[in-house]
Amino acid sequence: MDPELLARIQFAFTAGFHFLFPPLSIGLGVFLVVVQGFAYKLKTPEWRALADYWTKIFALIFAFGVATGIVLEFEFGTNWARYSRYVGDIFGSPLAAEAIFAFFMESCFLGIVLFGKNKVSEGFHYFSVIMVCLGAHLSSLWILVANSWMQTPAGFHIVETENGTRAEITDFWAMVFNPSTIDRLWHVLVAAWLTGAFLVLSVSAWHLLKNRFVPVAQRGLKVALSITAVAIVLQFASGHASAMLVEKMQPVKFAAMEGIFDSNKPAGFHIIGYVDEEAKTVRGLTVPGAVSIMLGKGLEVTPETKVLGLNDVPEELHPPLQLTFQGFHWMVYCGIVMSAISAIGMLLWFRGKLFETRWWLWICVPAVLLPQFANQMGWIATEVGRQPWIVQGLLKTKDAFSTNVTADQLWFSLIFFSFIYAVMFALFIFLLTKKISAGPKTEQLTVNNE
Amino acid sequence: MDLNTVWFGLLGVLFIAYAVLDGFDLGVGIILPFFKSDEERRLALNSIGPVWDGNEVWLLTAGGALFAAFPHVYAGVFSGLYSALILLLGALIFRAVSLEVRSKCEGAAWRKIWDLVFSVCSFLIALLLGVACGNLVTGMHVNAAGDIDAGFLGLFNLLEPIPLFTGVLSVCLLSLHGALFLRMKTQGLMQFRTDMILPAIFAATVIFYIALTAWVVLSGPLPGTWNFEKYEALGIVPVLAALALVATGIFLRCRTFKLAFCGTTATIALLILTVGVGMFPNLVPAIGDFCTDTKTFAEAGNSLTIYDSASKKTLITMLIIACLGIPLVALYHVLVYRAFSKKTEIDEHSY
Repeated sequence: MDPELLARIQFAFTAGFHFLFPPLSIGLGVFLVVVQGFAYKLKTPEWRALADYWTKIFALIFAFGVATGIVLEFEFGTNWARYSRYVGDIFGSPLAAEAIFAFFMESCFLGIVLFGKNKVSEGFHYFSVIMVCLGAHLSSLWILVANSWMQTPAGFHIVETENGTRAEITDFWAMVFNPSTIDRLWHVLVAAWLTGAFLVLSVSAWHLLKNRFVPVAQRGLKVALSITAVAIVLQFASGHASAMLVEKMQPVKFAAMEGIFDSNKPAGFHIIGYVDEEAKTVRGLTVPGAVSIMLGKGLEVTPETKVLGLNDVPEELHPPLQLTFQGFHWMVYCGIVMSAISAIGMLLWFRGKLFETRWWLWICVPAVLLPQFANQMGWIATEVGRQPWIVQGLLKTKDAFSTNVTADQLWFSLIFFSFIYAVMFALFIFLLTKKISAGPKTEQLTVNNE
Repeated sequence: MDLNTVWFGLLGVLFIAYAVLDGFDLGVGIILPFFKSDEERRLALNSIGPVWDGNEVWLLTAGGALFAAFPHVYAGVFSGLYSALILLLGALIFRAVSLEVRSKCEGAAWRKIWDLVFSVCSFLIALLLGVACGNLVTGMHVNAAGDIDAGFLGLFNLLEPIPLFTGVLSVCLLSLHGALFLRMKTQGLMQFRTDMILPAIFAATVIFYIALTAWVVLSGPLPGTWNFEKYEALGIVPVLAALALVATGIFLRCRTFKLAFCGTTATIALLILTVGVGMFPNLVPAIGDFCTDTKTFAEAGNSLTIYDSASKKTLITMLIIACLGIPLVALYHVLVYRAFSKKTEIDEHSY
């Protein structure tokens, strides 16, 4: 296999694996701010047990997130040296800013949250919880700045230097708030809140079904369900805004996501389908014109309301169509199922039947996988859909990988990471299920009952 | 002083902060096998438990700063040292994982395995970073495009005698640093155990320190020491480093361990400073560029220097970011280290 493909597989694999953890820590961070807040204000043993329990789980997830995250910062240099040389003047700053503004905040205050319960005041401990959550959010801000710049580059010009042609920054704030930063940041943050909340939902539902740790699990379930109910509404809004923006800024990616080939017809929404690249069409169930309407363009095709179709784009500028299309669609399916689950949950809550409706609790248990799957699929749609560009319209992926790293070295590192991540994944699942079945510490609860 | 020089200095500060702070975490990891019982090991691990993660962020910051300020150098070094860096990443990953998981299960075998993993990873990190420092002294094979050739398997050109010595010295010195940290953070039996190993670690550090110094001096001018030939007054830096190590020894003898810890801190910082002032303005001296007779570098050679930098605008922006960020980071560190200033004890929140 050629080095470019190996480098891409390695990056996709290491980034995808890493991306299991940060959304969980961001989402659980928000959850912890809420439940630690209740524990701090109400001081009841149930809230304290809930807060302590999820803080421990947070620690496990955070450690795995940190361990897998370091790889990515190194990989830009190891595997994408030509990319680093070309855009380093712009791309390096958000990464450095992330370390200095976010990572330190997260990890220093996490030390206090985890180990300092008996060493600092309760108020300062709660402040540290908030700082950890804030740090996690800031970290996603800077990483989304960097990634959004690759989608919609802004605030730079191209310069000849003695080390070759490269992009140099002209306007730092235009780079930071490039056209897609805010929309994409919202989309990812809300996805992260869902990811964290669905983990709590799943574990709490499981405990309720098994009739264990009931008072703690009930509180966890209610908080998590409230978060999902707010987040899923926000998510459809931000998803729509993101899609509108992609259509405007990255029309080829949009065409691949929606499977639009013909520019001369109103664009239809494929409810389910697969891309037949030979026949240049999507086979499946289609609502004609739906995409055009959702974009606010109406059913009449004029030069202004035209949605770009792939037939009008030279083939060498097509991203891998099937992957982009399916990635986008499966993300949407996950979103729809998640919204159904939280809508039903809210309905049951208002009717006072939340904890008795066992079938709904049973659905919540595997639902933890939905946001994770949606995250991965969304990431595939956005990154694969940008191909063949690594920086949209500026630098192609084939011109970005390290030419001085051989295929042998890449095989070695790919196998090495596969081995490490397989071990880590097994460990993570083992320890997480152990924690889940052990449940929160209940001695505090029994003291209260006496 | 131009911006590029300021950034060279700032990078130095970041690497020194990393080596001094995460250095004692690594040291504790390396000497962990000397503690036999589970309780002793938990005390050792929990001494670094609340702080090691924040300390490691200095490495990430240094990497990010190198990327932002010197992208051409970052690209060359990271792709050129591919295999060594992948090993380093593996060690960094498993260090974090082993510390997190070791106390999550009761079994003695489980804990022993993860303690061993933690030790081996800490050892490897200290060794590899030391070897990297040594390679800056001896210079590396850099081509005109700024790519580094690290030899067979992308590794073997790096394992010259001097880099190997610096690697071993790094392991010894950080062990000493870590042992002194533990000596300050623990009490009773743990202090006794640490007292038993401190003299041996100190002796090993001194031996490798002398051997390395002798080797470097006898090798004549090296690409990474050329400034000492040009400006003899700079020789004060390595002399101070040696004096700091001597002072450490005296403080050890007087059993004033806090001062001894300051001694190793100064030794580490001054050694990195020695490498820095020795190679300036190069960031990666190229072997072919250096003429040992005239003791000068070729004009327009292949060495990666501080002028292979990002644009002026980025350097200024990043300087502002650093000026805003570093006081905040210092504040976080003060808060954390104050919260955990007491001796380590095991409670229900420990590892």
